[in-house]
Amino acid sequence: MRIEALLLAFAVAQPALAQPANAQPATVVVSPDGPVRTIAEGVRRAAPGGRVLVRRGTYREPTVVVDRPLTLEGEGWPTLDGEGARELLRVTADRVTVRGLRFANVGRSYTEDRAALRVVRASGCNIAGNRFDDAFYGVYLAEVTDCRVTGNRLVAHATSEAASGNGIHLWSSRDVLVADNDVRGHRDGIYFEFVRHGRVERNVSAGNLRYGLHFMYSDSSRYLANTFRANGAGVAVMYTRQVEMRGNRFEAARGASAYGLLLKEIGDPVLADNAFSDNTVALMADGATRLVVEGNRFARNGWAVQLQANTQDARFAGNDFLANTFDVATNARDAGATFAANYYDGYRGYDLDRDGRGDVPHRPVRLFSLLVANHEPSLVLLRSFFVDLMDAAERVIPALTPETIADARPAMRPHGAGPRGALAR
Amino acid sequence: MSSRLPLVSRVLTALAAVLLLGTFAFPLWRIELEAPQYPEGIGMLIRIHTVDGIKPNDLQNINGLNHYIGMKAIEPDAIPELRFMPWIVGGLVAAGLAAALVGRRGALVAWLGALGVAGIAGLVDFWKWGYDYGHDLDPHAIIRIPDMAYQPPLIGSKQLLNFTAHSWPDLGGVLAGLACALAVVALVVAWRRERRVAVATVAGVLALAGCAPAVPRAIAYGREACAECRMVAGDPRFGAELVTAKGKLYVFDSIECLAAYTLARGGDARGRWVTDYEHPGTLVPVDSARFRRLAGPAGSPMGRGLAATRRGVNRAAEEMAWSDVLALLRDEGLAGGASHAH
Repeated sequence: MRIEALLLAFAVAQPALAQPANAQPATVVVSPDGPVRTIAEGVRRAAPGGRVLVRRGTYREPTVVVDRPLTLEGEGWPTLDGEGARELLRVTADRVTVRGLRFANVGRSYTEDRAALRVVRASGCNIAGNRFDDAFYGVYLAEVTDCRVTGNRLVAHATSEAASGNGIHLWSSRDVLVADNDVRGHRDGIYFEFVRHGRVERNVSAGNLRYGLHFMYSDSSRYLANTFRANGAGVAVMYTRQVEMRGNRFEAARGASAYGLLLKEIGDPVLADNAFSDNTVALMADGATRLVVEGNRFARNGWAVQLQANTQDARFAGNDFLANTFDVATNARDAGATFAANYYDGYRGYDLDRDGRGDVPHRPVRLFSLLVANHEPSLVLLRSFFVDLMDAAERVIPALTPETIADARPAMRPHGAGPRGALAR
Repeated sequence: MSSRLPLVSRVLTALAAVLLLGTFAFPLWRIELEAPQYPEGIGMLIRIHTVDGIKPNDLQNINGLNHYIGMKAIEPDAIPELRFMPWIVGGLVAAGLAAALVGRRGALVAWLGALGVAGIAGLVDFWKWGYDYGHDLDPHAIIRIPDMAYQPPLIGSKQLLNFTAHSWPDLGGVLAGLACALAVVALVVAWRRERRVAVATVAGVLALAGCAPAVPRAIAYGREACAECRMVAGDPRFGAELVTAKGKLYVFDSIECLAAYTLARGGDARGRWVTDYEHPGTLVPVDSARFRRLAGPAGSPMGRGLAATRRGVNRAAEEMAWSDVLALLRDEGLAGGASHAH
């Protein structure tokens, strides 16, 4: 199947290669005052594998359908204007590149997931360096393979979730790269549903109404060096196996049901070298199996980690816990989690043999956090003298906090955990 | 009616009682005098059983000063309250612990009352002593200023000749105040609990009587999180609700989640509602709804594409009843949707 596709690609490319002298005519120029005035007309005139160059201007025309392999390229930010009434560009062919276009005024729709740019049942698409202003859905890929969505800028000003769509939306796709995009003000910034082998790298997803990144049923995907900031409910990762998240920043998810990162029914996730800061709850693990959390920085969160009882075999190692109100909270007496060599700024132990590791165990679950878990209004007593007294007493004679959650030899100094090296930006 | 206290209240009551013990260890009140001739200041501490100086000779120095203006010497042994105050506070501690043990609301109210009476009486007594010392002056004193009184303030600061007197509660007094506050919190918690129980009881009785049908309420899309998957409900075409047998209401972002919750927690509920897909925001009981699976990516929040409409006269072939939806979720599970894509 794959080989056939390649052969086909080669066959299609042949005519263009065969006539190098006539390579220029393969480019069709569209401009408001030229012989070709609409993009649809340009696409119609282009040979398969050709190029359509769109000059500066505003194009108001029915939904443009790209039904053959070609490169659609803008010069001087030509604008496709949907006049608030329609989808702008629909790609139904393989190997289509869309670059340098500005998409505007898609308009809302409550009955269809109207998108500025939709790619349906195609492979090898390349959506690079476009601008999407106030799109409902921005880039919408359904049943695609081997596609790249890179360097796009999507800015919307959604005010209600029901009246907004996702920035980059992928459904039922395979082998997709989403990189270096900047997504703001949509419902979910980046949304994956039924996606295999996705890579999401170096994107910035900020100020979206619901989630910065949201994916469900999307196995074997990697998320590297992205920044998720001030999204309404943070980031949610659900019903998925083999997720790797490395070097990302989860910042400023604040609110009663907001999480820096929510893991729900996740198998074998790896969270490494991420930075979680200024979230109400930085990491919520609900039904995560064999969770590995290593080398992350948790700073200035309300709760750094919340572990639900149904989370099995979690392992936290080499993380830094800095200035969180609560480092770890759980609703279980016997949470199956191991903590090893993490740094806690609340650690009160000592290191007599000077090997850099504390000599007495640290229990990152405060007694008061158990109380709050069972009776939320008691949170008003936070930072009161009596709660400090209670925590101090519990530290001396642990009676109620989970015996099993203890770091036998915590680090004495921060590891400098978080995004670093090539991943840090 | 005196009902049982919730555990939280009892623990708080016990803690309050224990905090009162702090008054034995720490001073209740602190009176400090500032003046140029005493660069380090002098002052006294009022403890539960005595009055003494902040520094070793402060009390003598104060009495020496007071002698000039004709004030009586402060003699702890001459203040009878200091003899029986430890017993009163000790009794209050014991009573508090007893109230926590007994765990009845009446006991807590009684204790809180005693605490309040004791606290107010103590303050009034303190003020009276202050008044007495400040006004009952020897007419033959060395320094006499007509109409001048030397009563120290109860709380706060006051200029007395060239002295500035500061009077504030010390750690013991703060602990006592904190104990009162905790006891109040304990009572408030108990009262709120009880009210909730009362509401549930009334609702339950009414439900038994069959005259209070459970009603759904509008879902706050964008703010409320799904009780099953924790996602913030965002799409008003798919929201669902459930009211338990006890009257607690749960919100779901999708039909899938309502079904998964129902399968996991059993079928005991007063009502279940799903949104009419064609009329976003309208909730209909599951039994009067028809379900179908939407094709393509315009799916429901949980990816299974389940949508509901109000039951019409004619039933299309592909439509399902609520029981079919439960069977579907029983077979696939919520996480089973991953197998759907490829």
